[in-house]
Amino acid sequence: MTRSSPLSLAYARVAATDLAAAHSFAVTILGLETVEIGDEEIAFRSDARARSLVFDGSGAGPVLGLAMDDETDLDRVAERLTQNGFPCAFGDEALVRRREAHRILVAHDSSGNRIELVTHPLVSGRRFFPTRDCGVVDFQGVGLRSVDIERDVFFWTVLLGAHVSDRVGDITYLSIDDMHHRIALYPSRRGGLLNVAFEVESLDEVMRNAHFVASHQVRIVQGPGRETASDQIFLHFAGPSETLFSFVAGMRRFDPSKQRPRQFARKAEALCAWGSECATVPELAAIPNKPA
Amino acid sequence: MIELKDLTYVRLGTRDLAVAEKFAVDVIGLQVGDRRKNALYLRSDSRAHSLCYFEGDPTDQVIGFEVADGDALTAAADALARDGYPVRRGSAEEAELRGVHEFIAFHCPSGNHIELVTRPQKTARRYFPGRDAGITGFNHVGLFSKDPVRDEKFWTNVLNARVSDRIAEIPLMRINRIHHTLALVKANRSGIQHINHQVETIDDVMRASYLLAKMNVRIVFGPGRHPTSGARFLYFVGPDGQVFEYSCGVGEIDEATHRPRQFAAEPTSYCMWGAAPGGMIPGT
Repeated sequence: MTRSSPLSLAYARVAATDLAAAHSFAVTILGLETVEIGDEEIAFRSDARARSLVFDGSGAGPVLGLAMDDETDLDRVAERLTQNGFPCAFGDEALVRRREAHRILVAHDSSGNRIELVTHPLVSGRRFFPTRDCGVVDFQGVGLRSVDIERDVFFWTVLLGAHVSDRVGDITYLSIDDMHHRIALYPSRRGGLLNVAFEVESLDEVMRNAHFVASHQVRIVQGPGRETASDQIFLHFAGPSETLFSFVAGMRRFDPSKQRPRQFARKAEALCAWGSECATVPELAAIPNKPA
Repeated sequence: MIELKDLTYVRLGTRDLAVAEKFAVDVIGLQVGDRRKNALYLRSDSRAHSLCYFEGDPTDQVIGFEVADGDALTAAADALARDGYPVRRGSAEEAELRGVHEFIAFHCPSGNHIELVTRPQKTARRYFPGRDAGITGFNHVGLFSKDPVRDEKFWTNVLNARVSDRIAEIPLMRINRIHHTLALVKANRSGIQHINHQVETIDDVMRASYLLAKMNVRIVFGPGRHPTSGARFLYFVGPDGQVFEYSCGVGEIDEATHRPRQFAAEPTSYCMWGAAPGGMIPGT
């Protein structure tokens, strides 16, 4: 069962201090297709979207772009955000042009993460052609750092229409379509884009990529593993800046009319059903058992 | 014509039964089915036992296959003798120790100790694992071969196994629909190269890869995926250096249409994900 939802992922813009290194990472490691090389940013494709990942060398912070189908929805959202104390503003023509969208509403969650809501982002008529046989099929999702999980959940659910699918401790998975989640909020001491995930064809491609990534001296942060709540197989690894990247496959679906969010304790087995652990990124780590 | 119906058991000599038991139960997840004087019988499925550790020399290893009945056993003994393989008929006491009705014993050309048995015991009490490893059963073995080309002829011509696929000159051979029950691995020695237990899903393979590493069990190959059988696998070392394997999703063969495929002698022929078989398969 699918349900109509006003939101879908459009793009992630990731800060990069060294654009050349970021470019090399995107094509060599991720296997994405270069779309446009500018002075301050480089854009890449991973699927039908005209662009899904942009490395931004201008010094600006990360951005998550989400598409809304309906212009009037965008106006309603702008109104709701303003009424509830989340400042937002419609982007000018220059910004609209740069984002290749029809209209754009720039908002911030309570953690300072810049969220851009756009209408009619471009898709490409030419099929995605990866640089290497990476198996990437889609820009699957993102993880966001949150300094105020309650208020950010309010932002995403009540104001933007997402549904909480499950929770591990206070880590909150948000569903915006028929997948278990596209956005995950991770309690943190600061805001930011924790990870950008690309879906690959199957488990085989996650595993092949795990060997590929390791053999290219890229630091694997966690995995290969299986996210317990969503069944999604994942590999999290370091990127050119602090945002992590992930290859993922096999997420289960979620239907808020039939399923209720489950609460897991924030233990290792609730984060990875296979037993992988993350020692270096506190947002992904289990809470160690307190000594008795 | 000798027709192998099923793989029945492996028997492994060990210097330390207590160590073998601890590993078999706590690590592999087998269940102790029976204890006899100087021997331990381990279960992994509906077989009364599929692995027997006995006090003795760790190079003393036996693989047992089931044949249809007593007549088939006698015919097999005659055929082997005719082809020049000395055959020994097991005593009633030995048969009782193996949980079979009758058996014969002989050596393959590489010197591996093979037994053919009739009426191996099943048990109605279901297998309850030593740990939640997800084991669904004892599935296949790898055998060291000093001359895989010669030994392939023995297994196919004399014992009527069929080659499913080859990697270089290593044949993966079947005796039923399962992609392979027997794999030969070239080495300057004889013995059992690995013992496979099937597990339910990829999750069991991956969980084992993390859990066994935590238990300081030496993982020698994997997690990975064989392009031949399609199985997802993990190989690890047990007592006396014996390699065990978990795998899931081993393919089935359509006898009518399948032709053996030839894979090259390169690492991806052993693992399509990129895991290196270094060390476990001599020469890789």
